[in-house]
Amino acid sequence: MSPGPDGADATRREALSRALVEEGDRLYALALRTTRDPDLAGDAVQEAFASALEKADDFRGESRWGTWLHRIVFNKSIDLLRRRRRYEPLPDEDSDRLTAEDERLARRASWTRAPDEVVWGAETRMAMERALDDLTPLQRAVFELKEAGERPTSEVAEILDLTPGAVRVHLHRARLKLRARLGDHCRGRETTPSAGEAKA
Amino acid sequence: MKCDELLRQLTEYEDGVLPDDVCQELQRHLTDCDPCTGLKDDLEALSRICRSCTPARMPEEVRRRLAERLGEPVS
Repeated sequence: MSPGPDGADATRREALSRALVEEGDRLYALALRTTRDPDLAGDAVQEAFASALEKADDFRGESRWGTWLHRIVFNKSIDLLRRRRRYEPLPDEDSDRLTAEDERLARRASWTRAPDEVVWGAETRMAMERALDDLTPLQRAVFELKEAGERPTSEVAEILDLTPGAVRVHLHRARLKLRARLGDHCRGRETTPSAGEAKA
Repeated sequence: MKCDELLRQLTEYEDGVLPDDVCQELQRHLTDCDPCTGLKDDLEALSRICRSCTPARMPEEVRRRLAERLGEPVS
């Protein structure tokens, strides 16, 4: 005979139900950014909630339920990508230190289109979505949490099991790659000298 | 401060974790260096582009399944 829902179980279900209402879209957005696949993202979120229900005793309350759930969603997203053999990181691409490639990207010439023109065009947003394909899943997750979610670095570090310094490196690398990929879209005919040419 | 040092410290600067004297050095460098100012402006524009994108919404089917699961008793 199965035990009915006890007090602790009811409490955890209530907490998870609240997280679903309050953070469901953000959890799904993290999974979608990481996997770039709506079906995988849906699976990742459902598997994450299933794990959270099973392992709720592991939740000690050092972080918020939402933070803990984001961490599980990210891990499930990476698990699913690996199971589908869509994620085999290269040795340097998820390095915690800035690399020569990062410095090369930073020296690309600046965009010259006016910010409003750059920001508000639907074409620009589509170009951004395409550019995100060039990032690793980890870089996309950092970018989503920091730039779209506007979460503090300390919380992103907790979600992704990184140091705050590593979060900053991955964010910087993601932004440099996106800036380079969006260069053709956002750069006008006139360009300023590239970073590194003047004072390096 | 040189351009490559600014590159390494820009995200820390935006995060507000650099000591005051380093912040001042970085700000001085930005005042004098058009390429680094251009880089910083581009990254700020990139943030605005990201925030102008429509946020993803969890599909209703996924939300319904989760709500059902959370309403189930432990087996």
